[in-house]
Amino acid sequence: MNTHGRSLFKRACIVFAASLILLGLSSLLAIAIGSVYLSPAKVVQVFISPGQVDPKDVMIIQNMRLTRVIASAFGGSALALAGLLLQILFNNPIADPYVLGISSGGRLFVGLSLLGGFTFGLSATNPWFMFFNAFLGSTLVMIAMLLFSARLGHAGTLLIVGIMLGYLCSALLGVLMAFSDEHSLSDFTKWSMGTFGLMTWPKIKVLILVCSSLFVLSFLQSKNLNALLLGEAYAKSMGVHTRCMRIYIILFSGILTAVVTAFAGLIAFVGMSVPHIARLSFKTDDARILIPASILFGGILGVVCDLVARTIAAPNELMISTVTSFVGVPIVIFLLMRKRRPVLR
Amino acid sequence: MKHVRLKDVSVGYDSQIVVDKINISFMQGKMTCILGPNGSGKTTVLKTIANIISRIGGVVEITDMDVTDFKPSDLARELSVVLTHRMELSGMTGFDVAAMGRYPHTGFLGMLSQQDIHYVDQSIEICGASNLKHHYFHQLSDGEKQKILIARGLAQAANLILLDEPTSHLDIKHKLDVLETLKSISVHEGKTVICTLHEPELAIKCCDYLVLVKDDRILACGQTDDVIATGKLDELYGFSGQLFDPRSGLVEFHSAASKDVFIIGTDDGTTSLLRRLNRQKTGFAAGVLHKNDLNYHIAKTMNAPLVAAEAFSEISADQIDQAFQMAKAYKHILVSRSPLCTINSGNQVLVDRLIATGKEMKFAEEMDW
Repeated sequence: MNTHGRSLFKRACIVFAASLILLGLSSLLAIAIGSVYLSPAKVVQVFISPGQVDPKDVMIIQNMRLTRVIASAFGGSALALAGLLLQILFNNPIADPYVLGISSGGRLFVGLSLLGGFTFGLSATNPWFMFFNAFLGSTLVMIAMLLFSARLGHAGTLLIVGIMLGYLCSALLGVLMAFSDEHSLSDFTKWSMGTFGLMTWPKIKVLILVCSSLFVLSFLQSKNLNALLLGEAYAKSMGVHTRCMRIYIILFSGILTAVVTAFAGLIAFVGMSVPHIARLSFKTDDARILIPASILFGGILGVVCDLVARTIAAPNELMISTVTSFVGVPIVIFLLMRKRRPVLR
Repeated sequence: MKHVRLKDVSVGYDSQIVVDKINISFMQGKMTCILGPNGSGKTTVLKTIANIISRIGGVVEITDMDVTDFKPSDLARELSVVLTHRMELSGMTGFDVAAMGRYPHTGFLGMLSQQDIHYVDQSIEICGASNLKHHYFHQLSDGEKQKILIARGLAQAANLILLDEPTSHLDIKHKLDVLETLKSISVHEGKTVICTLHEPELAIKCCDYLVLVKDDRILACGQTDDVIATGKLDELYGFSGQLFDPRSGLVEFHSAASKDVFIIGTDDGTTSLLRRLNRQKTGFAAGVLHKNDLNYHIAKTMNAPLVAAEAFSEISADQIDQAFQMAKAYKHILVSRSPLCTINSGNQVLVDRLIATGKEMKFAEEMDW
């Protein structure tokens, strides 16, 4: 590394350590705060020696608060990373799984199995099956978009196509819901609007397993992702298998989006805003830094936003997207204002 | 020695042929320019050599090996490219972008070794961009970006560098800077440089070889002087012998057809006089000039009617008469202030004959434009 690069990596390590601590503290706070307040000391005690705490509190912490915090942390991370990957793939700063309709595609396919009964004999609530359905939907939307992109070759039009596909998926889901019985609908509605409140340990296991492996796999591609920053032709001339990279990015971001959508529904703007927070704080485009930064910042944002969503209007709960939009929208507008060249080229 | 060889190559997109049956070779350590009008397929040829787009037919060989037989990572060590595509980067310095060139040489996560850093620094220095290293790439001017991108190509340590319109969108100073850099890369570093340019007047001054592309085919190729001698450069842009003179590299505007001013002889101020007349669309003719006079070439490139004597030889009676017949039809006659000697004394005869017909002689500065 030259001096600039070396100091950047040193700074990154410090910020990452600080972020980890912040993530831990916000998680602790998120576990403590809720309809029943439990002091952070008690929370820590539950993890160290659960025998000495009131079993009711242990139950609340382990089965309600902890699942929710883990889900919001991993969910935020996964969406942030998916957003970063999509921004690199489409070379567009406002690409994001929510805007491009990829989340909606995932949601539609989960809806098809939950409400429409397309389960192929499997249990519709099996977490792996839900994840698989969401992945199918996300990937189909992304493939449709890439087919359009080959024809249009214009990033601005592509974004609009993505937004349209998202609306189409939501419309189809609306039709599906109109034909469903009310009994299955109430939880479904809550889920489809986006919440981390419907987590169970089997779902958490899938979430952690899928996310952690994708975090590692994505990081291992960071050198190739950097080469793609210069554009596909340059990347190819440097020996990158650009077609493989395209497929990797589609798979990775599709899987990351799907695993969150399957269990927590639609969550807006995390994927768009977090990579930019990372870019702005490190002033770099280097994927070797932006990937871990997006994962950490996304985790913190997920935990904090979920905490705000369920406490600010307690006992009512806000949709998680309501809170993330308050963070995401100003960032997007700021980016649009700052850009000399228009984002919709 | 031949570095790159194209045999019966057809290039294009989606099996639609843009340039057909290309048979050319590019010499090791030489700078070759591919010239052609807009849309002639220069860039397609260049990108096909780099294997960025797939060729439709034929064989492209680099040091006797087919480009498609190279592993992508090996090909990246054989050739590097500088393209017109401008990337949207917000957080990379000039050094970071140039260091991307080390991609094929670094390990799994792309960490730079001391040696890599040294190599990048050296490449940046060769491109005269050391002062841009720590600036953010997106804040640089077009010319500065181009230097960094060329440094990136150089840092890739390939023996062949392909550049697509490296001088487009640059001001004249940066155009010359970039071409100077490319020259030194080929002359001092021994790299084979192949570029496309939109400036034939610069290409003939700095490139060793020319390839002319027009209407789906290679119009001419070879050493620059040989290509100029074929006269194909005029054909390339449809100039038909005027406005661009490949021998001198002059580019001039077409002179007006009106018979306003006849210029007799030349002096220090004639060059600016000719350009001034042309600027204000005043038609002119000149005589008798000598063919070794720069002004003769300028006026000829402007396509003005001329009477000229051979270099360093006396003006003949025939030429005087020819100039006299021509000058009679013009409104104003301007005479030069150059001293008369044997070889241009004929112009005095011309002046005397014109005065005899009642024409008024003037110096350029007496004209009321």
